[in-house]
Amino acid sequence: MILQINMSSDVPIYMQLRNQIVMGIGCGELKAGQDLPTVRQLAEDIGINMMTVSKAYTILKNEGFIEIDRRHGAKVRKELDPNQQFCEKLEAELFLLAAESKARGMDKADFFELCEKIFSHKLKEKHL
Amino acid sequence: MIGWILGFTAAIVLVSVYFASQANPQPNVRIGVSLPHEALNDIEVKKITGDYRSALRKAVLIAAVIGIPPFFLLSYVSLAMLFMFVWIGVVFYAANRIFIVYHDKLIVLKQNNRWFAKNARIITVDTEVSRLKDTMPISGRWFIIPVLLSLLPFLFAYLERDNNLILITLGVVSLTTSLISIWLYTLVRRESTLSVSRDTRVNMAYNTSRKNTLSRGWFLFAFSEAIILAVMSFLIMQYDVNVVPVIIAILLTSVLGLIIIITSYQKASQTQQRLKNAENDVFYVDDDSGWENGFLFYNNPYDERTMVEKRSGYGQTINIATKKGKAFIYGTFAFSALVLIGVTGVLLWADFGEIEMGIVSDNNRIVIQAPMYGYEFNASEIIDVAITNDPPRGIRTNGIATDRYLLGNFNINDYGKSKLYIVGDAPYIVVQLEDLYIFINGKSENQTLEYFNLLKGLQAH
Repeated sequence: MILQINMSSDVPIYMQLRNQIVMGIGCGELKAGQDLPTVRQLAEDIGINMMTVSKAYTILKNEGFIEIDRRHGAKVRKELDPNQQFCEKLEAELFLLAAESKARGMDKADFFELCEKIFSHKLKEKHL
Repeated sequence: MIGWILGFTAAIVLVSVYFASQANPQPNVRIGVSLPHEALNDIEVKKITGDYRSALRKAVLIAAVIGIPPFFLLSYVSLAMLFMFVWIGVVFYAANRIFIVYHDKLIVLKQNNRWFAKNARIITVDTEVSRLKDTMPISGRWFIIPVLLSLLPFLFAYLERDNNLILITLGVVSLTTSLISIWLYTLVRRESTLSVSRDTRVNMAYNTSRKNTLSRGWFLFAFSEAIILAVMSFLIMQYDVNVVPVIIAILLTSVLGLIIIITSYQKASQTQQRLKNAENDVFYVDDDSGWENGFLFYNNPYDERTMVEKRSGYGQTINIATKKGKAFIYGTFAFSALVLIGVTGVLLWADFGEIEMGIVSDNNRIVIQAPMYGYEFNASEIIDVAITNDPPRGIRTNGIATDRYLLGNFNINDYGKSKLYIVGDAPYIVVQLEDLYIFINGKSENQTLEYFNLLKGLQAH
């Protein structure tokens, strides 16, 4: 997949890395079991400190998206399931987004339509 | 001889400054400014790049004319060298200034035309390419061959004891070249990959062609230098070759190395350009920051890499914004300043220091005072003193030879190991000691005769 890191953004680089890899997995650009570059290779290519990449990888590993093997480097996890922890996090974040939408006067149908569009089109579109 | 070396160095400096400062390793970069594909053929862009080229040509021509005077100063090596060092500094400074002027012009043009400012400071990485980057260059194990070859001169030096100073020097040159090539190879290996397309296959081909060609280039460079120097050392060991052809061979070898490296960089750049032309969905990386100070160094505090690929010219340069980069630059400057001051200082001393012969009368000791190569001996060591009109000819082993004087250690034909203190025209006094001849004369014939009578008188005792 193509990573695009904005060096002048307010979002920290390790967060950008984490978010883009998650999006890559979600959109199917990164397949289950696919190998990722090592910390050194990615740090060299982006021109950032190895610690930054390492931080992003650690977060991704703790969230269960990737697994890190000392010998083979990092790869996308084969079995990814919505576990208990993730469901709780999703609920909290969705609650916040739904509340924000309602506060701004968006009705239930519009909110659902947007969710439907993102889930079935945006994620699928990129999949092809 | 010294004239040839100076001329050759000056020519290499001019040629490399002229070609390197307008080479574009990345196809969409002109004078250090990244441009979109369609802007490369813009009339104004072409005008600025054309003006830059003609300004550079003029500068090279002027530099060549200014570089002529030292060839009339050859009898004062120190002044010629001093002039040369300053001249090289000025040439690089001027080329860099010209670069900055036209770089700024192009940046203004780019801003006025709003050529993709929105992409600024976005770094694009293809994860597959990044993951496979270590498979792109040739294996580092290939460099074992040049390293082993560069040990041969040392072996020859061990076998042949007579000439071993030259052989050891050749070995050191060869080994240093091999080690430097290995270092440059690792830089190519680690160099960040560039993604130009959404298609991973295109990105793979784009980066593989570069890393493979360049790593091969550095191997070929190390291998050819090592093999030529090994063959040369073998010839020296077998046939006692003169120093002059050795120096010429070394110079030719460095030219060959230069050609290998420039060709590989050009080849890599051409392949990349071809790939870009064939691809419709090309995205360009737009990041000009760091190159405002010219083509010599990169200055970007937001980039943590110490070594980066040059935007103009061949090879890598240093990011002077990093700590390591600063240390490297200051270290190099301090070291070269020390070497330059040392070398010119010694040469100035040799050129303007007095060569005199004095005799300490109480114990019949003869003292020759001369810069660096002063010598003392007892009158009793003198075997013979003669006077001749034939100028001494032979090979300089450790000394200085100019039109005005010959000073230091030489190997003189028909005599052998000698020390020369020649400051004037014929006649020359030849003092024979055990295992050593001393050639000496004064600035005038009278002084030479005075020295001769003195030595004859001492010998008579």
